[in-house]
Amino acid sequence: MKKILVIDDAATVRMYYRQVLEAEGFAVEEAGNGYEGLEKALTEAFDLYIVDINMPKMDGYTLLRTIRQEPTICATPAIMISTEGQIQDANAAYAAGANLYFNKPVRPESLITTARLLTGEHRA
Amino acid sequence: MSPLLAQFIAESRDQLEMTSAGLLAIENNPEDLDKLNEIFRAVHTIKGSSGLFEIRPVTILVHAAEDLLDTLRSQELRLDRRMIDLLLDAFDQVNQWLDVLERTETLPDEFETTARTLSAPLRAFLGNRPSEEAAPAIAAPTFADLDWLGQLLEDDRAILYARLAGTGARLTLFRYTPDAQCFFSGEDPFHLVRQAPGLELLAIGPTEPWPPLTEMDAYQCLLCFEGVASGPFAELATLFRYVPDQIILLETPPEVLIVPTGRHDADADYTGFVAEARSLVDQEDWDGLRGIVDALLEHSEPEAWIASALRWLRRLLDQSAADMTLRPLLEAMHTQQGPDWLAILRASAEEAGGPTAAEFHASTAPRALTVVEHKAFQHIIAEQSRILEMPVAPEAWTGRLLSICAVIGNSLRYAGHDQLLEELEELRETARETRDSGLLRGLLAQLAEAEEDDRAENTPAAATAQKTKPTEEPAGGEKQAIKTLKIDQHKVDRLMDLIGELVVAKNSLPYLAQRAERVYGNRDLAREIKEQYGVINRIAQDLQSAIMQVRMMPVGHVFQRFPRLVRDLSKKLDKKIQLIVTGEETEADKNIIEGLADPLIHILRNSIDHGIEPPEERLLLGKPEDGSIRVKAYQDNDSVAIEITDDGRGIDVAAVRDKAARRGLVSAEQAETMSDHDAIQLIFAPGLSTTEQVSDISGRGVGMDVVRTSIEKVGGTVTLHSQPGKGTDLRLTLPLSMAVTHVMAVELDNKPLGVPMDLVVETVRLPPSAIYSIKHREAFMLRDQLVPLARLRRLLNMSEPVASDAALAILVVRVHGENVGIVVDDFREGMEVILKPMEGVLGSLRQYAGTALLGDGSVMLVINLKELI
Repeated sequence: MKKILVIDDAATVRMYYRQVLEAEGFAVEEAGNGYEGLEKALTEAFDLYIVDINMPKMDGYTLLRTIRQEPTICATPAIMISTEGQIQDANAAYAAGANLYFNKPVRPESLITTARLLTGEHRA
Repeated sequence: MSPLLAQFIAESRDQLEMTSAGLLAIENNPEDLDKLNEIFRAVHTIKGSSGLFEIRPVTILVHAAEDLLDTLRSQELRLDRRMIDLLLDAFDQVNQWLDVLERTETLPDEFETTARTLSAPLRAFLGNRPSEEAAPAIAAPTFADLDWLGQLLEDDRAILYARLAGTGARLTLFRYTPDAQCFFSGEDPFHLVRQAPGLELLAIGPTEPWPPLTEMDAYQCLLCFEGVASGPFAELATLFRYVPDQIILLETPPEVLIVPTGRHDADADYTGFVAEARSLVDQEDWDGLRGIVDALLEHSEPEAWIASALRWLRRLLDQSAADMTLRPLLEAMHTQQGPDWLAILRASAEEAGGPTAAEFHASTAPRALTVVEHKAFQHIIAEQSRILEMPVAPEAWTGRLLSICAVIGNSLRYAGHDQLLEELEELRETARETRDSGLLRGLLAQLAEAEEDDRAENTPAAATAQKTKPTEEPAGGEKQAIKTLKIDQHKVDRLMDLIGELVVAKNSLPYLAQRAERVYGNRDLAREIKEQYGVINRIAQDLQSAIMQVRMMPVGHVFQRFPRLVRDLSKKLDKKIQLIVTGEETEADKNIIEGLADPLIHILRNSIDHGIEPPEERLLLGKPEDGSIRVKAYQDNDSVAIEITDDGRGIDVAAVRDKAARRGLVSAEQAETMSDHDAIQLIFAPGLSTTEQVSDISGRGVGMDVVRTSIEKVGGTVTLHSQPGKGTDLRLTLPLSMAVTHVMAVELDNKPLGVPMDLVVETVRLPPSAIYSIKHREAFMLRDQLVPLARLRRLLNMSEPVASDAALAILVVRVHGENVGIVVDDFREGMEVILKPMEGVLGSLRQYAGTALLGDGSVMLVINLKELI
């Protein structure tokens, strides 16, 4: 089973991703800020990170930059999802180390498809 | 309610509370950028999450607030008092909407108007900054489903589809529901519809089942026009621009016309057919497919749903439509529903622009992928190329390369391009060594352009790509995050119940020890059991106090609302008031804290409204211009005390005496003679409010009696001191926890019965001769005081025991401020129990406070003396 770490300070958003992804057979872990996310990422292997930008303690950019420089976890795909709707945000996300950028809210179908492709998970 | 919505409401309430408190804090300290950031983030979170639900009013308003806060945060604007007022108003409104949402799970559309009204002044600060929200503001109405297309004749649809399929042409679906009164405004709906450019198909039906002809109002338009037009979408939109609230328009590819219709056969199972058809599609054996379709069609009744589906399949095959259209139809035959083109379209529209009709026919997608997946795949590959072109810090170069390769590898594997994995791996290693990703970019370009070639071979690849997933555990970094956990209160209550059961189970051990000694004569074993009991007992007690600790929360939770209250009210009344709060960290049980909020607010309102004088009056009296209200919480032995002190005018004793006498609460004589202190206590009596007029602030028809009742409900007491001209001092004393109740067990009819210990004054035994009968009442003398006597058996309607000379066991209790003696059969011990309220049918028995489980497993009833006497 593919494991996904969701890092977002909004508990509602985390719950939404969890509901959508778990229904499709993914295992989902949550973290409420970048710092917590990094801690979890360093102690457990994941197949995908889903990262928000604006978070307390450590924002999504810093988190991704740190992840991409950490040899044990730098190869894990990451999606950045935020409310900011401008193109420069996608560029900033990519510069920080994201592999894909989405605007909130992401539709369930889109989230599932992307998660499947990025983790290489075949449907049952 | 869905857990997601419940989560959103709870989280947003927390964020709003934080935001309001934060705004008040920065009002005094506008330079506090950290605070401002914190507020911004809270609002940002609400906005982000609100997008998950259909609650546009919340989104619109919060978005405006967020934009303003963002500008303040970047210091383009300076915060002023008016902004704070407006923001607070906005958040109050959102809070109210959350309440509505909690009750009804939706927000009426008309709230959008309110949202815009409240947003306007917030946006006004932003000047000409574009409102991001402006564009999608008018959410176009859309079709809930496309089932109505089925009412158009299948042949008509088939002819239209045959004409348009594969040409890339798009259709516009419309539903026009004219206003029922439209004839009176000179409209001609039918004429309007006939103007539709390229009107192909039209169905006219009733908006709702028509009433019998005799009751029908011929002057009302009860029609709904649904149809399909092939003209340009923009022209249709222009045509219907004057009836935006009556029209739904949707531009779609012609595939939506493929809707099988007809009678469903519940017993039919076409799983076998669908499976065979699927495999034929996979093999692109169109003739084979045509064969089995024809065969089944021959055996189906023409008016059956399945026959209609088969005819569509046949048509698609004749038009050599691609499998992208065949597949949804096959899926539909499997479930005998649909196909749900709307869902398919919506999913596709996710990606920029949505698929065109041509894309529906695109046969370039690799086998296993749906249209949506194929688009996502292409998007992912394109974005990875783009990322590779971007500059990157040297220390992140490898990480980026590896993550991109992981993404591409996983996507390829998912898409069934396993044969490319080995090549990808080689390119990755080369890039890693040479620190040049040129070759890798070449592969991506190839992938983006020439997928068709890859599609040819679809042999299962032997190469299983090596995972670049880390497995080793890194050395644990420093951990300093404070870990908090939000728990559903029911879970804690459940834990509490379980611990209660554990305590009861534990208490059976002493009985067991006794049995070991008496029945089996094994004294050593009995001692060992007792020792073990001691250990378990200690753990159980620790466990109990630990779980109580979980339920404890700081009283500051309630105090948080005070600054806002004082600020708003003093502004309204033109008074100047300093609020000094201390001891917010003092803890008490959650239920008690929650029961405290309303009484405390009432007390504060009283102080602000009646207590503190207006500034000019204070100056005349030689008092400082600013009045002060002090709220102080502290722990006092086994209870929590909260003191509310103001330096206002105090309570007008004469007015209280006068009012109490006039309301008949005491006699005029009593009112005259009682001490000032006693007279002031009269304000706790029901129905006494000392201001004549009901004021907007504190006089809401409830008085201090409600305050006292709610405090007593959680087991607390209220005392009041007041000095005319100097101020009022209220003191609330509350138990730390309500979870454990001390009861005194008494015996009645050989059964134990609990009496709440806090009411028990003492126990006495008196001979029957010491009881006086005064008229119909009984009483006895206790230390020169006459104490009324009640018999518990009589109170509970139980039979009296045979009269004897044995001493009576009398429990002296204090109820309603008066000592009362209660005759019971016998006394037992005092104990701590976990009191469970009566539930269900028994819930209405107010004579009982609840039940408690005893050590031997029996259940004890605890009586509610305040109700009984």
